[in-house]
Amino acid sequence: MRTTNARCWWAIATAMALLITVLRPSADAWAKDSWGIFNYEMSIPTSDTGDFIDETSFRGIGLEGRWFNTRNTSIGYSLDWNVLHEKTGDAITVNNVTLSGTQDRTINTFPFLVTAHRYMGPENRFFAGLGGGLYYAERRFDIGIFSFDSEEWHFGVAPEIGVSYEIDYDVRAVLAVRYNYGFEKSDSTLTYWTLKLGIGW
Amino acid sequence: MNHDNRRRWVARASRGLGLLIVGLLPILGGCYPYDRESTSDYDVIATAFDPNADFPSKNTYAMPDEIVQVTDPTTPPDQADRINPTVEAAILGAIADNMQALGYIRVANNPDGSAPSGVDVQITPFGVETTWVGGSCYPYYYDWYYGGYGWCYPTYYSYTTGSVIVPMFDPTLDPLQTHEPLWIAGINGIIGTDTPSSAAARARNAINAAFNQSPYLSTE
Repeated sequence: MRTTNARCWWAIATAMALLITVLRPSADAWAKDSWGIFNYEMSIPTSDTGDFIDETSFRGIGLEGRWFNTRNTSIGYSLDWNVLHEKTGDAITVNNVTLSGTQDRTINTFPFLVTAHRYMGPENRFFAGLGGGLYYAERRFDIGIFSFDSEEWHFGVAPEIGVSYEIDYDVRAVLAVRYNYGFEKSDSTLTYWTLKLGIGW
Repeated sequence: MNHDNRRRWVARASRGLGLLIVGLLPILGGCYPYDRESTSDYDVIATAFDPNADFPSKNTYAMPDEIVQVTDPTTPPDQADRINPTVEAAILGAIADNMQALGYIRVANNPDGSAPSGVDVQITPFGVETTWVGGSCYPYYYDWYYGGYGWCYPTYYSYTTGSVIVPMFDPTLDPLQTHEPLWIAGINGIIGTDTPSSAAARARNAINAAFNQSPYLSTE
């Protein structure tokens, strides 16, 4: 099952990321500090992706690790799982053929990104960053009893800005907005905004 | 609990919460969230037309008073079964209403069922019944309930779905030869899967949808 395959990829990468995050370098190693962040993510499809699914998604999660090599710069990773979905009855016309009926359009996307961030303000409150890496996307189109699906790996970049607030000792709340741009593959880009609400430790 | 211990506890708790949620991800499901509410959600209406057809030049059409169900392509149409009368009446009525709304005038078929001379288009709806058989397996996390089946607990299902095909032909062409229709509508899943009254309502809606998505059929 392809879904299981995608979940396996995500589970393996997440397990590795967790190990890295939990066994993070100590302060006397090259990293002066480190953050692990768990995010709840909402997504808004745009462009090609928005043409396929024109609906805000409230299904998404992510895990980040950030290591500070200076007081106000960090490098790290970001693993995410965003489920974009729309149920629609819109007719589809291609040349002289029109198809209509209840449709479920779904994209499961799994970004695997290396990230770099720069921080500003007291206690690194504001930050801007850029991610780059791979986006694995499962697209599925269901109409009636018929189902069509495809899988693609997109190279992609993800600029983002955000703010963090230290709630308590070693615990911080994080709010960020990211634009995900997966470069064109099979005549389609993968593009969507993500609003991230996170808790960091 | 002193202040430092409380802070460490908060840090551990937040880390543990994150790990717990991440650990639960593979069983959260929701990868393909569907919420089909009724059988009509499974209806599919496909239409296609001949780009060279000159519909505004057409004014009249002919159509039989019955719809046969093609279960064996070698069976002559006059020996084939008819679809359920309630559904048949709904389909023929909906076609007639939509053709009239588009500006067409109905002309009666000849007694032998052939199209009368001079009519511009012939519509010959028919039903087809297909049995779909599929196999699937529950996601691996159902193993908790069905231990010993490995990652996949197989299920098999079969169901029958009925489709209605509504082709529109140029009646001047040789009926013994194969021709592309001027227009065709295929409606999946509306016969054989529901009560006649419910299937009739779905059929009427589907025929209306087929004509609504084909505004080029208008004679104006």
